[in-house]
Amino acid sequence: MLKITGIILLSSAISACGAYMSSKITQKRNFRKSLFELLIYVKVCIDNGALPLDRIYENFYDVRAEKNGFLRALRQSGLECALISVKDELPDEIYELYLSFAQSLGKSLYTSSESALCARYTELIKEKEKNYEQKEAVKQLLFKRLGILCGLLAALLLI
Amino acid sequence: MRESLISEQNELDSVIKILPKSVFLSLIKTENPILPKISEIRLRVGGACSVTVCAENLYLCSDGAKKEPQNLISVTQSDIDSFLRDFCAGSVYAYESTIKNGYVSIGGIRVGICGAAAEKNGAMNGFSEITSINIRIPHHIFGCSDGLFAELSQSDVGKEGILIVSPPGAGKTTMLRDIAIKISRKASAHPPFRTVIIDERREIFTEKFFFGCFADVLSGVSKELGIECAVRVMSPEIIICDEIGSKAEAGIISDANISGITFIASIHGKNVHDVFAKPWIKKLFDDGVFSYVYVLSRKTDGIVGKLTKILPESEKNNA
Repeated sequence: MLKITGIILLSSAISACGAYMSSKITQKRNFRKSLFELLIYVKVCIDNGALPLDRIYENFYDVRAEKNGFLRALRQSGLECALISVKDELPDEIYELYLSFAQSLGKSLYTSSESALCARYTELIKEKEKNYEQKEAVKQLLFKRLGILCGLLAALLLI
Repeated sequence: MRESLISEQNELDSVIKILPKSVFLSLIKTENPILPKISEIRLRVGGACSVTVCAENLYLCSDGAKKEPQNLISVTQSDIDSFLRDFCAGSVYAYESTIKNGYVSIGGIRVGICGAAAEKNGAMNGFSEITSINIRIPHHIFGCSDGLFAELSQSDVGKEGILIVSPPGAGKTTMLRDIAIKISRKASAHPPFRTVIIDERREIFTEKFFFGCFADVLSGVSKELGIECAVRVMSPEIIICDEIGSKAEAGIISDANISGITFIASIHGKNVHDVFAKPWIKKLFDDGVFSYVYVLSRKTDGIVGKLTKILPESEKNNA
């Protein structure tokens, strides 16, 4: 009885590992969604009222960005520093794109140039995100199924 | 940077921190009596950088601000671009509308811009290259309007319009600010008046000076729109505005005065004759919008003025 309980717990734990790895991917994807929302929000604020960046960052709120400290870094030190603080949570290609955007933002004399910059990076990042989402969907399925299979295998081996 | 400019005790310190390195080093080597009196810092690509102290221009040299051009410092295009970015807190585009008019004004500090201007439909549309800037540091002289109030009769305070005349840099804006502070506060000689300041270039109103004042400000808007809005929604007793001069502005002032609003304004000029050379300004005196001209001149120890009462044409004829 004890043995069977132990086997069930062990195989459940192994399956849960797979689910955990899958949820980490979901978390990172959700954070990237917050970043993308920030990008769109910046464009909207520039198009409507040409708000300065510090006011835009002050008004922006997202629970996911708040939790990992990104919002605090954004308001204190600007977008470039905030991105550096969350570098590990982003795929390299997407990180490079956001960093390049942050380094170019706010330098033009014209609102129309800034808006065009935001629009350009929105398109580029959207394209990259599509590719990553497809790859991540496959990875998540793999982790979940692998977790369950390994759990079952462990159970079979121990029986 | 924007927030720190507004909250900084000393505007000069807040600007010095973001100046190009060569300028910063030159200023910190400048003698102490001169440094706090700096009213303008001019940076020029390919030209001499200078400061203005009590109407005197000094060269910025490697060992401080000097009268003689020796060991002059220089700035690059990149230095000026970088300064503007820091001044605008990384959001230069947010000041596009004022940059198109050749300046950026934040927290009372005005940066005038010169360079290769871009034109669109006959109007200035910004700059393709900025080659020089003039950073104007505000220095409020508390009590500079005491002389004016001493000369005005008690019954005329807040009731009769005053036009302040002076050449550039003589203290018109400082005078207007001091008048606004005094007239919107209770004093022994007069009650506080509901005052609206039309602060087109964001130079007159500084929050920290207006504590306890019945003063409202409309900033970053043209005088015509500002006056119209103020009359419609703020029911002011007094409107204060800087550098009037166009026919359209004179027209709107005249219309607003019919509603019983008193105007205190400033205009460029050396004397009363300069003012009356513009027929639409003379008309404002004939219509009784303004009754006094206060001609300013800047001295080393402050601003001095001469008050003259101007009778409307009709009263002159009767006399």
